[in-house]
Amino acid sequence: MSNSKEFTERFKKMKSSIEKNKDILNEDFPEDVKSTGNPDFIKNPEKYKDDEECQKKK
Amino acid sequence: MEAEARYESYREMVRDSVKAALPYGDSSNISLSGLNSAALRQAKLWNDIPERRVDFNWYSDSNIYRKMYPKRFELAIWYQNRLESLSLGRPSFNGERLRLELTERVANHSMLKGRAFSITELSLIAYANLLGASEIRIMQPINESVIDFYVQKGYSYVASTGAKHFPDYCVKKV
Repeated sequence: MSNSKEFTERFKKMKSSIEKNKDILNEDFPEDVKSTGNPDFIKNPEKYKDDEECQKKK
Repeated sequence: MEAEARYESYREMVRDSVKAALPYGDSSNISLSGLNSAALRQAKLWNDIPERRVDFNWYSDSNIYRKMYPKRFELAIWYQNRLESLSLGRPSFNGERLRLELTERVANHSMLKGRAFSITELSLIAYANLLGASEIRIMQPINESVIDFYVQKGYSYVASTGAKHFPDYCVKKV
């Protein structure tokens, strides 16, 4: 499959995933929550690389 | 630079498509962007909000990460001209997973209470599909109510092994 054909397929999948999951936009996420995740993942990206990526670099 | 431009164009496609799907009465007030200079400038002001509990400077602390990961997921959500939410994440090395590392909503009054996370999640799912990833991970959900929320929506919760490079997360096939 050519790259552009492949991309077109992924683009279609992206569009249909929005259609399929648009109910998410009406779900009530806990209103008191102002953040989730961990700033350290971004501050220290080297420390949190994938296992797979680490193995590849060894 | 080429990769940066290519993936920014992908992110823009996702933002445009998610924006078009917003079902709210005030959807015209909501806009989506990348972590552009306007977003990072407004995010600097978040550091002065006394209610803020996140130890992170979006302006200066995201530079290295954003350079390291041109394929990253990033999203700024605006209500009129006010920055409401910022998020960052990245695909795994083999591209099969997309993880959301950090998302933050403005700490004081927000017009998008509850909604900012939903818009972020839908954008994450859409970007995962555009990249060809089959799974999304919400890394280190902050508390039990967030874990419960995602588990009720069909995510599985995976506890940390205790190793620093293996934090807990909620995961779902997309």
